[in-house]
Amino acid sequence: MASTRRELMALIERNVIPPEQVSRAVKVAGLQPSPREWAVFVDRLLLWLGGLALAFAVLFFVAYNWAEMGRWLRFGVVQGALVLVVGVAVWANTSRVDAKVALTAASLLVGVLLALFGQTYQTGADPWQLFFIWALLILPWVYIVRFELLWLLWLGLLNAALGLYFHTWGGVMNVWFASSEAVFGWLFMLNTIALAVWEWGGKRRNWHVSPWSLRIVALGSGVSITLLMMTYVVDTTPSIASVLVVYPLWLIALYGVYRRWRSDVLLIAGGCVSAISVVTLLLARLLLWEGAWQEGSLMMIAIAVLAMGAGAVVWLKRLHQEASQ
Amino acid sequence: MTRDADDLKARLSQAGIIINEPTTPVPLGTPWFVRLLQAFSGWLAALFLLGFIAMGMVFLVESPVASLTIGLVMISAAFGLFRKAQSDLLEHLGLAISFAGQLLIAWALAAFWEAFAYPFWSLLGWSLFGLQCALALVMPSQAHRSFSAFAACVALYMALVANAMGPVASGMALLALTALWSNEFRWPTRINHVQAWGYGFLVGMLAIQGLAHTGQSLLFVDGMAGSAWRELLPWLSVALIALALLLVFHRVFQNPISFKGRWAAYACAIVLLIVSFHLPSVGQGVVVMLLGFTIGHRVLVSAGVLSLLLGIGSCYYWLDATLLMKSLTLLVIGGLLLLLRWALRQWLNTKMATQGDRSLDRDA
Repeated sequence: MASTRRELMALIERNVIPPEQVSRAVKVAGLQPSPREWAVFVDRLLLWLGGLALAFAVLFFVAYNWAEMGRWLRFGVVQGALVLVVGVAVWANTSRVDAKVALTAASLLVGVLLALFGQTYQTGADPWQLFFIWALLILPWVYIVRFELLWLLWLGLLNAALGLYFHTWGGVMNVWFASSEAVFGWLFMLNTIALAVWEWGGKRRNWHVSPWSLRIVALGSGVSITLLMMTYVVDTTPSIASVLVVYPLWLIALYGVYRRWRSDVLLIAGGCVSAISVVTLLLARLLLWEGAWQEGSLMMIAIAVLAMGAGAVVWLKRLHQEASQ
Repeated sequence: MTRDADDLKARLSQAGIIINEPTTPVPLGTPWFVRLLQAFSGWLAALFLLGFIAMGMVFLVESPVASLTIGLVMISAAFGLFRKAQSDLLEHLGLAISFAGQLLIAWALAAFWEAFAYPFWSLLGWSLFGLQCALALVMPSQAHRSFSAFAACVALYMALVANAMGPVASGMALLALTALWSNEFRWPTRINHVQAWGYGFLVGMLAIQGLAHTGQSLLFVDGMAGSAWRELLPWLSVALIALALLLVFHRVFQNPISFKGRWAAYACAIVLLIVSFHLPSVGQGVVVMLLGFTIGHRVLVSAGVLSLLLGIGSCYYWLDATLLMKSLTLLVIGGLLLLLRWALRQWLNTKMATQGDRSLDRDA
């Protein structure tokens, strides 16, 4: 559908289709969904909205913390809901969308159950433990159902656990790998490994992985290494000096993989944004903080940003054209 | 020429559409993410350019009239550059000069409106909204059109929030983007313009929803707690969603659809509007999804999903009901939606079985 839209746009722009026939061409091109596609869309929409509404109903019920309601009844409600949705998933075939929705709701309910446990028994556990245990407990379902959204949720939980761990314990131990800046390094490692595994699985094992899921994971990897590099540019913390080697390698790998191995110009554009941000910050440090605050320095940085941006746009447009052919 | 393009041309030709020989070479297309990068680096350069002006010409910043004049001159210069721009570098330069000029004008307007008794944010918001609308219409650059449409949404939100009407802004952005995207191909020579504005309004609507979700508007709204407009807010929001939904239906019903199907759609719309009365962002998200699906635009469908998730998330912060009430409401809504799905499947599977079509369990 997306490529048909692109091709149709190109034909209109090049005057291949006469302007008075454009509206007919749009109909013939089949951009609009068929009745069957509408039926499937409405079916999935109702299922997802209904399933998520029920899962969130249980979440809000627990968050209400009803004092008059005994703890057994509260646990009973959450566990009953959990058993019910897992039952639906087992009853439905795992390849069917019903099972995917049911197991997504079940995964959310596991988090609700853990929160209720913490709320009732005041365990004093750190928040990162909740997310980590949550991720561990739902792993079997995530593995069995092989549903991208659940994998992303699982990875998101691990990211949250890691972030919260360093928020609590970062800097307590005087070692580089547990410093508060190192969180970006660990998040980068986690997301990059996940990205590499998904790319490998999609290419070699025929896993069904959509480009958008890969882009979200790549975003997690790119944002964390960029922030780590920017942290180094600002503070020059010796404990994260390795980023000076890792960051350029990451940029080279990004270019190599998404230009040569599997074309994805959007991810290369992300790399350009990262490089522009880092170089601008570096220039600001060299010319403004370490130099004198002069209007000439500001103008020089503005010109550098313009040149980098324009260069990136020209290059990316060419790559996009090559990839479209 | 790709195989997709050849297939499409063959289909169009078979349908009796005249296929001309191309009069221009294949255009070097600019995908949306490249435009985003263009806007990002233009904006970043504009900040440093503004710093240069502020440090080098202090008198400009101290005098609102001088700021306004130089701002207008810079925007005019950017306009000239866009008209003459044959290269990406010049277009980029135009963006940076225009953004810096807009910041100077905003600075001058802020200094000017400070002396008035009427709410400052409202005056500033409306004047910036006017400026951005004019720029979105006039500036001959796709990236600038998108950016100005986005900035117009944010300025509108600022103006309305000062009058305790912030939530209406996202509804207005929704209506504008629905009107644009559903008429995307109506003016063949201006398709790119319409798409640029459409993307700007889409990002603007998501930004407003994000701001409302994080509670950024509350500081302003609390000061206007007694405003009569407050009572009308939910109705206005619902009216805007209803209008946007009607535009989508108008587009959907251009294709033949059964009488029952048409009435089922109207019934679902009424349920959606009832939900939107309490949670407007849920209704807005669903409308964007439906719009995206109707015109075959995946980016719009994804934005609709994001908007819907923001809407469901904002339910937690809805202050007019206790968490228990929200829980019960979601329980009823969830149950009804699943019941509706069951009924729909019974009806459609029977219909498909009689027509020899595939089951609904197989993806389209």
